[in-house]
Amino acid sequence: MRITSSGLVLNFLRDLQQGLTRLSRLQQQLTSAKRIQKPSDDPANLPSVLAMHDALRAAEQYGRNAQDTATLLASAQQALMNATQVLQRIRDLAVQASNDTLSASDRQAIRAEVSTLLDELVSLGNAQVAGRYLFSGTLTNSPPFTRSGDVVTYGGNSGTLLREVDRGTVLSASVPGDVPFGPAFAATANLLSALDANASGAVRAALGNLDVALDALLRVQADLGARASRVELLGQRWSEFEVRLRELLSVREDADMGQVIMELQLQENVYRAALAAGARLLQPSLVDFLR
Amino acid sequence: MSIFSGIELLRRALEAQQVGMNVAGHNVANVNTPGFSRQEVVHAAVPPPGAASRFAATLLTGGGVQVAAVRRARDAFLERQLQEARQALAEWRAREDFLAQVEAVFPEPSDSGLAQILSAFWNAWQELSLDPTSNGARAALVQQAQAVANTLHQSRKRLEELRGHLDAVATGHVQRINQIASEIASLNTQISRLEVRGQPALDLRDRREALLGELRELADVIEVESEAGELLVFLQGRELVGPAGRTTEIQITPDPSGVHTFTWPDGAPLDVRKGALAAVLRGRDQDVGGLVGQLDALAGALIAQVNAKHATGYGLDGSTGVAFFTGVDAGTIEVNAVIRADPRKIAASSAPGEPGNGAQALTIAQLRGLSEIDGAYQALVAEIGMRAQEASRQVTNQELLADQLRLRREATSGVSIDEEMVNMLRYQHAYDAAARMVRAIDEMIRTLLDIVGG
Repeated sequence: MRITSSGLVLNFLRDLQQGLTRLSRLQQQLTSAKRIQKPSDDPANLPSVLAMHDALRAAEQYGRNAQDTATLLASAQQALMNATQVLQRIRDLAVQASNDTLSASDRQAIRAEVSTLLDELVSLGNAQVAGRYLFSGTLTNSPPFTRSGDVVTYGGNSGTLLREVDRGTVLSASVPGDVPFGPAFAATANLLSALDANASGAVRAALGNLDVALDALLRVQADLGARASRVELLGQRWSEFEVRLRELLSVREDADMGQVIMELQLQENVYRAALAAGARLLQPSLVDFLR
Repeated sequence: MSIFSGIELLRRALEAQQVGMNVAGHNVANVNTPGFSRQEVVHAAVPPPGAASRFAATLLTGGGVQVAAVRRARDAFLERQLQEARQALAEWRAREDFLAQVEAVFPEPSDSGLAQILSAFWNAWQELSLDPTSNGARAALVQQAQAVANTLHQSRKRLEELRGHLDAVATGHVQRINQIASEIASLNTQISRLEVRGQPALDLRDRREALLGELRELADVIEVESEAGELLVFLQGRELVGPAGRTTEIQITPDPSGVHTFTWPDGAPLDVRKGALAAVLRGRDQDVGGLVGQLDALAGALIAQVNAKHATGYGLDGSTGVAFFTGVDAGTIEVNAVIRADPRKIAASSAPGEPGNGAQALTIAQLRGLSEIDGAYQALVAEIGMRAQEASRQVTNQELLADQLRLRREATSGVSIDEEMVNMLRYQHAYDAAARMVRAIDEMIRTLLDIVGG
């Protein structure tokens, strides 16, 4: 094929352009440390890369939700543990009071102590976390229990605080107060009126109610304990998941710096060689040699 | 045969070599002229006068040299191939160009892209469900929701701007097409006038070829050369350049929707299938136009889905049936002004009067990953990426092809300075020799005259 000077120039310029294009791309990867900088860099993988980014964000959120749930459950458990101790003390007093040998004034003394313990129970039932009442159901801005005389009324509702701790998994982070505390208040009120009536038989009946109430408290605590374990497990899983996901994303998205640098050096040499060769070939022509 | 015919013979020789020099000089002068075809002189020997007669008594010698032709060294088929390769290249380049601009509207994967902003939006609903009474969580949600709306506005606006830009480019192309058509028509007239006198108008033809090449990059034209040497050009069956300098101008009319429509004078719409103009028009109407539609659909789904769930929930102040988003598409979506003014109206609760109830917020948060919203966006961006990648690949391929053809054209029609220098020497020597012979014959004539004269 006949070669003209324009032909040489065309070849030279084209090769230079190709070299520069390769260099430019490598330089971009080097400065951004990313293999994928725009959709066209890897369109086939893009949906999964975007989905993974979202999954990572979601995992962070689910982790926070789990943490919040764990805190609420722990606070509730603590309150119920204390309440159990208080109720246990009330029960002991009831046992004392069921003794037929006690006098009315003895029973009155016991009554006073039980009444104070009832106040403590009410205050435990009205426990708060960060300004919100734990045992009000979803009426978290108003205290669940109010005492009037010996009767404690529940002003909350049966709702629970819901949290999504895993995709599609919604847990209750609370328990409505009347479930654990209701029987306790009722039994205590029962005991108080029995003490007032100075009837040891009634006191013994109240004892039965107190046992039932203690049972209720323990059952709720067990339930909360189970939920707390589950949430803790989920929290751990999320941490592991996050780590693995970040690794996966890195493989998809990040540039292999070592490889990029090597490639860059190689292409640089190729480019220089092309420049040198072109410079040698383009300069001389016959005109230089004619007389 | 007389002695004077010898001088006549040598005069022709001087002329012929001079033409050779001129052509060599012309070639050298045009070594960098794009589209120029190297010209060659064809010398032919002049046969002896009356050589057809077998009955001539005297011995006749040849009559010297004449310039039989000056022609262009070109391969018409190769030229055509090169033009078509350039057409395909121009088409893919135009496509690659605007797809790169479209890609810039959707910077993914990145923190500023809609994907991450939507992620944060769904998270904000989750945060709200943790403490529906928190004013901070409500304010943060409003901010994040407005960020979604703003991003959608911006993307749509930039797509519309791109559409306007493509329209301007298309208009420019059509104007250039009309311009080239009238230039070709005027060259037609000049060429046929010159060639009627028997002179091939080589350089004008080169110029006309170059114009045709430029025209072909813009649109898929077909040409035919008439007997009068006129180039008739047609576009999808419509005459663009006709005989006797007739041209048809493509009409450019602004459309109420903000772009232009292109028609033939009789109102028929312009039909182009290949070349840069076709690519730009397809980009304007199908690619960018389609994307705006997809974005609007995505925004519409977001508005509808969120609002449907939000309406059945309750705000802190007991309000229900409130829309979270207002608007219908990516251009009009906004967080409801009512909610921006009072975030307590955000319906986080599934029942009235329950401040700690965040169940409705949770339901809305669970819209995450929906195929009409998150899924649709991922598919949209992937599609753009694939189109852009394909366009780049095609440009590389077409560039390779066009380069190869250009090299082959150079081989056939290109000027080699070295070659022309050698030619120059050849003609120069021949001229010198002929001039020397003129002197010799001149001396012979003098000798004769001396004998006769005194």
